[in-house]
Amino acid sequence: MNSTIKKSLSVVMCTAMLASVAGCSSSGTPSTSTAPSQSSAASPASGSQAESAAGSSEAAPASDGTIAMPISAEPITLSYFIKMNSAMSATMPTYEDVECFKKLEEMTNIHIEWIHPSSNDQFNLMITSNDLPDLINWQLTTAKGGSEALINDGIIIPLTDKMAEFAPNYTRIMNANPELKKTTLLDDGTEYQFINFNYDPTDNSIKVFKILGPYIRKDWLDKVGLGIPKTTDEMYTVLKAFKDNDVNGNGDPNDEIPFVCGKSLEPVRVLSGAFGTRDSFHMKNGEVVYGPTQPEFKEYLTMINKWYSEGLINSDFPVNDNPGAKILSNEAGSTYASMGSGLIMQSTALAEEYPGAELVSMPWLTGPNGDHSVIYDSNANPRATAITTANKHVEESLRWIDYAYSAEGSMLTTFGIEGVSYEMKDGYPTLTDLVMNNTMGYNQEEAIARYCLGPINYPNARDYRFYEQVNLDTEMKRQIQVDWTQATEDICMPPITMNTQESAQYSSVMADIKTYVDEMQVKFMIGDESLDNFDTFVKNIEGMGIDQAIEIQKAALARYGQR
Amino acid sequence: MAVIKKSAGDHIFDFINAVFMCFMIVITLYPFIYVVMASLSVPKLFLAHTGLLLRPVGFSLESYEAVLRNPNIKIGYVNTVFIVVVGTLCNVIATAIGAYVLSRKGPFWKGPLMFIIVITMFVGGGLVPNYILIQNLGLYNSLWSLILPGLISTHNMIVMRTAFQGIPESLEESARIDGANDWTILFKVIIPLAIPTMAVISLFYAVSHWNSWFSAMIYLKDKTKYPLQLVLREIIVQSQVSDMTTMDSYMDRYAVSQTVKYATIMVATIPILCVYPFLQKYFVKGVMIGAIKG
Amino acid sequence: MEFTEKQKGRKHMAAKSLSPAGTRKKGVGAMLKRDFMKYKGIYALAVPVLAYFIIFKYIPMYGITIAFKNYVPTKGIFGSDWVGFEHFMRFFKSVYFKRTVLNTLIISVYDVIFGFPAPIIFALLLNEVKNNIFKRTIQTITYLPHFISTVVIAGMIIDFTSQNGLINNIIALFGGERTDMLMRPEMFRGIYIISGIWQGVGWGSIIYLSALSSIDQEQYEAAYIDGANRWQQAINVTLPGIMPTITILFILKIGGLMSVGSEKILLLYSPVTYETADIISTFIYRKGLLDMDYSFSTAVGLFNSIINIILLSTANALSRKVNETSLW
Repeated sequence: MNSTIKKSLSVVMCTAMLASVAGCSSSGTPSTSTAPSQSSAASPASGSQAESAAGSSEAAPASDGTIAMPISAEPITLSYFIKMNSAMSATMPTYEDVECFKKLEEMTNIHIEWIHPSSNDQFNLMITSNDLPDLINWQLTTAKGGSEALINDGIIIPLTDKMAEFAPNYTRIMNANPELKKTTLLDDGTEYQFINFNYDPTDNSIKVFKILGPYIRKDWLDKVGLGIPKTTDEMYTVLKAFKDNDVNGNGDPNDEIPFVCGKSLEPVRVLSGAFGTRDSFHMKNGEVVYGPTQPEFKEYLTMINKWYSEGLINSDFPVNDNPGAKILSNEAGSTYASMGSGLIMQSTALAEEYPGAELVSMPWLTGPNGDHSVIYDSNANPRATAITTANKHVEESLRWIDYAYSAEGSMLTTFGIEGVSYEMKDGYPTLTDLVMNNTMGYNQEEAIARYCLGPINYPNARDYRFYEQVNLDTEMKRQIQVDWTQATEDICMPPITMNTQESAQYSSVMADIKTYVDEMQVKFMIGDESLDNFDTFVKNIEGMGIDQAIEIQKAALARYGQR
Repeated sequence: MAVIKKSAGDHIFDFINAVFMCFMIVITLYPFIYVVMASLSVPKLFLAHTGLLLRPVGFSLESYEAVLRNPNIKIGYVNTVFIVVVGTLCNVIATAIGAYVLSRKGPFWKGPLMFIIVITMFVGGGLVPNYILIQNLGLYNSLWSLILPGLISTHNMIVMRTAFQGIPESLEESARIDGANDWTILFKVIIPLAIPTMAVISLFYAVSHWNSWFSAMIYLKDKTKYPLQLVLREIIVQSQVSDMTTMDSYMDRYAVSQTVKYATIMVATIPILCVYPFLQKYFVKGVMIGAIKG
Repeated sequence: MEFTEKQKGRKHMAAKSLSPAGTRKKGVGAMLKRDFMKYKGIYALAVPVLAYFIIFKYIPMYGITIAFKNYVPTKGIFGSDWVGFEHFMRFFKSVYFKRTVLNTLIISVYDVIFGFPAPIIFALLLNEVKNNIFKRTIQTITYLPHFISTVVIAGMIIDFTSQNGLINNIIALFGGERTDMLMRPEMFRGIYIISGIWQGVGWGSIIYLSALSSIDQEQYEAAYIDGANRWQQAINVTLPGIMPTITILFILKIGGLMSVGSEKILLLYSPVTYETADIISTFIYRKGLLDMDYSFSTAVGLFNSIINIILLSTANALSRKVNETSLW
């Protein structure tokens, strides 16, 4: 204990001196490029700590953002229940062998016993048999009864009164981003979990990285002399042009599939955002409504039906299990899918097989009424770490977790070991050849995973510069983010939570309604059911008790608003 | 043995039957061919392929490399072989005892007992109580947790019982007269006369052990104890890329993940496929019945 | 208690009925004792078997109570609240109760009518193949699809039934119209059953082949001498020879009528075919995506099991009357 105090005191002394020399502001929130501890600033670590230390050096060492090392005088062991990422499990049995965790253990004197489950059942069994580890990382809000049940029934502990003192870095970032913070709390404001996010140290912002969106064949557009469509009307023109002309150049003007969709129905589903609606609950003018009963939904179905009947969507879309193949075979013109396994992978493969073929991202479409929204909220059900009631070292655990949100910790967990897996080149953390072009027989992802967490969903403040160098290294990839982040999340419901009774009633009412809506939706689209019967459709939904479900959603939303 | 002459009708029937069998061979062989060819295909090319697959699209052993370089495969094989051999032995003996008890005409509670046992095929506690039981029995993280709970499959026991019932009572009686007790009768009289059934039931248990992974996932903590199927399942799940990781190797990785599935099936299935041909000789007609007369 | 025992059992009964009414209770005890003395060996062997079933099957049965509670993992089974028949009522009141139950039963019945006889017929035909090498080859190949995972088989089915797939190519060859077969509700069951036969007929015939090899060769010779041709031999020797096996497996199949698994259907169905393809387990699966309600699925499972037991008992009783082969 003595040595720790001495060490931290000396740090405070040094940094206080440096701070006075540097003359930087000592405000809590970072405003300069050398932002305080919670950023992953490129500048020398001591410099950044200077700001924060100077800002609150009167407080106990922990609350200024610096985590005193080692965290525990005696070696302690914490058990950690967390799903293992595939890139790591390919080369090592547990997270123990990841270099950044090894370093962390050395520094903190805390040994982690990793428990890696492979299924949801294991989570529920662990809880029900009361065989609790010290830390759990899971999509806690998906537990039965929500996070409330986990807390009220004695599985995890609320952390509200301990956060500021023992997890200062996380607290600071959360306070700087109140909307995000709200999504991580219980309705009564209780804090209990640590989530992962992309952090840009240069301006203290949380960066959202989009990985799903629409894309289209640029070379086909060029062939028919049209630009990238931005509205649904423009899209229709484009699709029609694809259909009527032999854009894939094989001599057959009839084999093109302008818009391809598979049995997940996602590509078609997301188009409803252009009408400000979706096939489930959403926000409209500040109120919760059920999409399928809204007139906008009929407009959306009408459009899809029109596209389908004119052959602009593949006729077998409700049963097609491999739409990607159509893109790769030079038959499909546009679709919606993921960035990596969809757009990027397909564009590279296409270019190899069909020189001149160019697949690019396109922005989300804007509908006839000016709506321009995505339908999925990006904050729902995050994977997060919580501390269980079996944990006997709560304060040490908090410090250990919080370290990953500090400047040093963020660098360590995102990039790994300086000099080995990354180097500072002109103040920018650059991944080294060792991991980027490894000769150990691993692929790039696996190599990186041996040293650090990189892009893996782990509770840390992931330094956004990681993404910059691996995922935004080409113009095309940067354009993807531009295109796909423009749309609003206006209509998306925030991550509300329901209690046990509510969710029981909700799921029985909705099981029926959802079946009905799913079935009828597709029937309207393919023309098996006439859109004239839309009103009957709405009446039937009302008859199945949608009002009860709406009431439940409203109540949950009201509680959310008060967090 | 009398010579059986064939009539013209017989020949026509044989011919049609042979044609039919050839047809069956072709259509049932196709899925296997598909898997083999897919596993040997170049992953990127395979992605674009639709339709019949009668030869690899390109040729590549990448998928096998992706599967076999996993260090856990060897462990998986070892564990599985243990479970299959030891497990099946235990299963067969336990099932035979149960089938014997249920097939004898003696005890008056035979009917009700049968009913009680059959009910367990329909009603069960579910995952949670079984998990708690395994923990309480101290079997958690032990390979025996994969053998004991499923020791007797009621379905298999019923099949065996049917076979045991088909053995003439006179044989049991004459054995008793010779002073044999039930244990001896079971192992020296009944079982030898029901060899085909014993072979089939052994096959069923062996295959069931070979293919199982769920219990292992729930009851085993050490990855060093994982049976093959669980290791392979994790490989498939692993190879399904999460979209958070997008790097140069991404495309290759995604493509390989699609064919990895097929290489996995090959690695997982070839060994067990060899068991049945080995057992076929026990299905030869009349071998055992002749022994009775003799 | 009903006794269908033979004379030995009846002797016990006779002895019991001769004793005075007052000694009735002792009678059962005495009967047990006598039985035990007579069948010591069987009792000894029965004990471990019974122990197994009690420990591994009956002790965990308290888990059934989940069906009558609102089971929440955080509270554990014993800590969750009782709700009686609420889950059952929810299921019965669902708009889709009737459809899903009907679809489940129809698919099962089709499976009994077409899927059950297929391996039997195949085994009988295989039995007629004289060339041993050919026979073994057929056996070894036809059982392969059983080992290919359902996911892969489903992928093939989707491919074959698509507009430009194999089956449509054949149909077009004969001048028929091309359709996306899996989009037609009326075709779903056929595709499901036929593909099930394709995948399972080889493996399913194994048990019948083993039963066939137990038939006394002399009976064939006797029949031949009596002038029976191959067909008559099949009807009079072969079929009766494997009838016990067929009967027992048939009874067990009836006991599975309500339990059609969801895996394959989930891979093949889509909202377009819900009207014939949506069965109980797929409906529960989708509900589970909304809220992992163990209690609800346990309740529905219990309901299914009870129906199955009733069906099984009926089949068993009928079978006992008709051909004296039964489970109990």
